[in-house]
Amino acid sequence: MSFLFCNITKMKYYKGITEQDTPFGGGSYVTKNQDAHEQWNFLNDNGYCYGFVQNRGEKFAIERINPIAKRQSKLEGVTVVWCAKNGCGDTVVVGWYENATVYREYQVSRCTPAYGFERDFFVSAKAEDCYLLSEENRTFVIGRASQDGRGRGFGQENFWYAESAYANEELIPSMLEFLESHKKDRINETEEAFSPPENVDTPLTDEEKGYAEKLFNDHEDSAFLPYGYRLYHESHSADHAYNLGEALAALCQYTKAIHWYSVVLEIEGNTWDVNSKFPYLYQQCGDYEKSIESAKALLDYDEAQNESVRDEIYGIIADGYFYSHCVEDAIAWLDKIISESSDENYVEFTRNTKTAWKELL
Amino acid sequence: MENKKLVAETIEKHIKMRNRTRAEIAAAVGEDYKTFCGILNRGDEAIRTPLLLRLANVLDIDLNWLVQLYKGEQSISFLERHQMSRMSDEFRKNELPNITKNMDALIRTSDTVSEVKKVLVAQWPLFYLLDVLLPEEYIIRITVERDRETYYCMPQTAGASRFGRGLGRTFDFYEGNEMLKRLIAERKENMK
Repeated sequence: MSFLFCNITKMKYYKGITEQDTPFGGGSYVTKNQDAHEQWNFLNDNGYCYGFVQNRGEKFAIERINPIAKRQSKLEGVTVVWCAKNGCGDTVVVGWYENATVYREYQVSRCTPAYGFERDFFVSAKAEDCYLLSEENRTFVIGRASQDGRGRGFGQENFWYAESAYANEELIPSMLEFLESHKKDRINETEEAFSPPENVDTPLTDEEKGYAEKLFNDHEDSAFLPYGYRLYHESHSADHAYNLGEALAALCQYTKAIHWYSVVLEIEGNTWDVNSKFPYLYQQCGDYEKSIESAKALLDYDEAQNESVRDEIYGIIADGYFYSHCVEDAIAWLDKIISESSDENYVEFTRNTKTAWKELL
Repeated sequence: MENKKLVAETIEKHIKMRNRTRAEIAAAVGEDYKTFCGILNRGDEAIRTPLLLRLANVLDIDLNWLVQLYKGEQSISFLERHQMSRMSDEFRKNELPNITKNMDALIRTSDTVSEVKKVLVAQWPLFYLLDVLLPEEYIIRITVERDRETYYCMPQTAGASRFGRGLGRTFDFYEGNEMLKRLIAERKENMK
């Protein structure tokens, strides 16, 4: 087994900074900006978690985790142990990823104007393989080399390859027992959080229906979801399927959102308002072929006669080809923008993009 | 727009803010009191353009801003997201003190930003709050999807909000509810 220990700022849920969950003990940048890239480390992003730790050198010597990774750009099958200060001066295990992929360099997350958000990560793992502990269960202490001796914990960097005999013979075996015994205690969201509730076939009362509508209109998507499933189960209506799509997309469950929007189309037939969601959704999921296909299909709609809409659709198609490493095709669509758009700013931006992409040919 | 009484409710709120009564405003715009009440109760569809103009004048509301509320679209997809006209500086300056006074009072008496936001949006349309509170250099865009309005706020410098990502550009816009929470949190922080 391969291990990597990472020291991050302390938070409760690592699903983004909120009033109830702000970073603590993360160093000067975090204190000054109240921001921490690791704030999203346990967000279930379309079935995956993406982890960040500050690395001054910006590259991870993944061969130190496992020598087979020499000259590789990533290493799979790693257990990444996330640690943070516990407010009493100790560094403790707050969670871990199993079967994680560790990248040598920071990766940039996919992000579209409609979905996703920009962030860097260097580790990814399936959400089902990720375990975040509640604060009361964060009791396993990881040492600091400066206090406990060389090879017995974190050094000056925020990550530790744990190569020492102490780590392999004493710490890790003990820690594995701890991790195994606490798997049942995880507090991060897995598939279950976004699936139909057990009482899905229980009809809603009028009061519940009113409450569900309020939750939906207030964008309280997590709270709305179980009601949303029950509403659809009761009605099988396109509007309820649509609302599920909206809530799931807002909760970063893009694949599920695509499913529910597709249900709407099955019920109602093709409509602009639903079909116009697919290009960015598929792009966010990394399915560039479907993103391109669905974007091209939009060009037949009356709404695409609107120039700025058409410009944006061309941009989505160009991006789709670019992300698929079909740079020549991507540039062909940039050329369409340049020749057809009357938006000077957009044309200038596109020319610059074309120049940059041509260098990749 | 989802709220077919958006203009009517905005008128009602401004009547209160100006410390006037329905009767006074009815008289000022040349309407019979009962007729005027009936119009406001029925909602935006009952408000004809000439009345809208007179109301904007009497209540000192930015007419262009009011008209765009009145003309609410049925459906605006994300790809079409419309840019809303911001209220005039003068109108904003007039509206801001009342909103911030209310906000400050709520901040002092509420435990969380979410609670403050909840009360504010119960009192005022979200777009109105964003338009009053956001600096002038912000753009506000709207989508209306199946009767649900969503607002997106971004600084003008992020202007290329329609542009594809391609070369790692940052999208710097916030959904309206999130933006309002940020504004409240910022104000709360400044009050410490």
